[in-house]
Amino acid sequence: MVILGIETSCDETSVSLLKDGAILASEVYTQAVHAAYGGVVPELASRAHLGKVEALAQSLFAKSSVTCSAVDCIAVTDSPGLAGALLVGIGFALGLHSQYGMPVTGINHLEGHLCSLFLEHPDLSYPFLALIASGGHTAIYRADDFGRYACLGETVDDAAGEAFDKIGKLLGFPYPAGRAIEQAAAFAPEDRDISFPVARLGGSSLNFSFSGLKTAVKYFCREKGDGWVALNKAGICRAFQKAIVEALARNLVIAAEQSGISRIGVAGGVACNGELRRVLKARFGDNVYFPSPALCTDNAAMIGRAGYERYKRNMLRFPSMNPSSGL
Amino acid sequence: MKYVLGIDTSSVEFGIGLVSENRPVMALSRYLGNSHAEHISQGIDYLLAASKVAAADISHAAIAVGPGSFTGLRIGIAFLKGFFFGREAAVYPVSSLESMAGSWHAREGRIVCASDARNGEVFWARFERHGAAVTRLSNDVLSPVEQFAEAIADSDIILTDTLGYARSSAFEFLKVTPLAFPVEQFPLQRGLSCATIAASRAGHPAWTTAGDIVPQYLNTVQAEKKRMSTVV
Repeated sequence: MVILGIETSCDETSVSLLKDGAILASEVYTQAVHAAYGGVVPELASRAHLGKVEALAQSLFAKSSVTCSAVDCIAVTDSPGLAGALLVGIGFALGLHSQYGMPVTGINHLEGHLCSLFLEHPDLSYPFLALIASGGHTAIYRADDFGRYACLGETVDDAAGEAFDKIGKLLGFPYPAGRAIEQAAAFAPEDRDISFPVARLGGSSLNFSFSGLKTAVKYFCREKGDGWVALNKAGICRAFQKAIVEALARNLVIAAEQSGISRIGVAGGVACNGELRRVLKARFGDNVYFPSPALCTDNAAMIGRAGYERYKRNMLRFPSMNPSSGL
Repeated sequence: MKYVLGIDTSSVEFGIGLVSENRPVMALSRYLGNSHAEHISQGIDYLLAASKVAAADISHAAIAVGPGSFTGLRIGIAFLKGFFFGREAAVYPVSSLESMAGSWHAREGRIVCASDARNGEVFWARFERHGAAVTRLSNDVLSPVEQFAEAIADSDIILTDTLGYARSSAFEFLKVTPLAFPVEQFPLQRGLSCATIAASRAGHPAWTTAGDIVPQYLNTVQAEKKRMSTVV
């Protein structure tokens, strides 16, 4: 069974071919145009997707020696994401569908992230708790089976990755700033004088809030002055990263206790963070699963994998044109 | 060039058409608002099935490349890139304004086609129609509304398209002009118009591949304008 995955929900244009759920070939293009704006500009993202999607698909099929007529199903991200960007991927998928006749299914981007875990971990089984943390989403889901998910907690304001990018901008790092902050933090010694609060939303809530943390860093930097901040940038990065990781880890621990589920999957761009991996490994041991970094960020392989799961279960659905924000 | 498939998704009108040997076979036109993506696949499938033509038999297409709705243009172009993916096919890019002019059959003479580019600007171009022949008299441009108003001659037939923008006021000043026609009031066939224009231009150097089709936005992204003004 050959699935073509297409992902254009934000600033990565990606296509992938999977055979029986395993990656045959994959292409990912990360749009560099947004760096000058400090964040993703939706119209520029849509324009860049249209300029790239066909060329990436050409390269993909050339690499894999598969022909279009051998594709059994197209899986395309249809929600959530930037509407104009999603429509480029959907339009391309529908053109292939009208020419070659294979079915096309819409895929929820978050379900794709969740399915990225299965690409490299065939031993992972349901039920498990999934933390999806990226520039656009931060939520904990209880995954009882494919297609059966319950949101246990989500961010009430900024996503974790968004907080990394905003603080990165404040400290003068280029967009996206996650990796730069992590690298800077790695060189910082433990400094008890720099610490930032981890928001607690009260009671047994598993929701997250990162806007307070962002404000705390901003005011801290303002109070200390530019010269001091320049000299202590690594320490600020370390304390900021620690606060984010603590918030994510703490809610995962509570979710595991409340649900009685100890298997954990972590996906999304923030899952690349080495400190988050270290802390969760220390807490959950071999029960925590991460995709490799290339599969943490947006990619079409995870969309193809979700399409494979849908195809197997006869759960195909025509792409929706009304993007929603949840799973 | 047995068949030419035409697609125009540059405005709220969703227009597709099929031409064979320079004669129209079939056309579909619907005012779909913002739902072109929802209907494009079924629309093309229906058009081809009703015309008894297989998708594999289509090796030439014409596509409206703008100016017009940015998202609308991308839906049509992305679809065509997928439709011709992995196949030998030729595509002719048609100006959305020329497509509009080509689908207007009510009168002959000088036709100014204009669409609302928002922020007090319009996309426009001038054409001349005699019989079935449409000749371009000016390039597609983006102008402030005031400049556009000054460029119009009394004898011009003016076709205006708000691109579905409900609060459009760009063409308010034309309300008292007898030869000004909002296209929403007329059943145009812009997909067929694209196909007809392309079919009449066999061998033209503008023919290219679907992969090389690029939208003609004519307009800079707001964020880019803002950034450039900050830099300056």
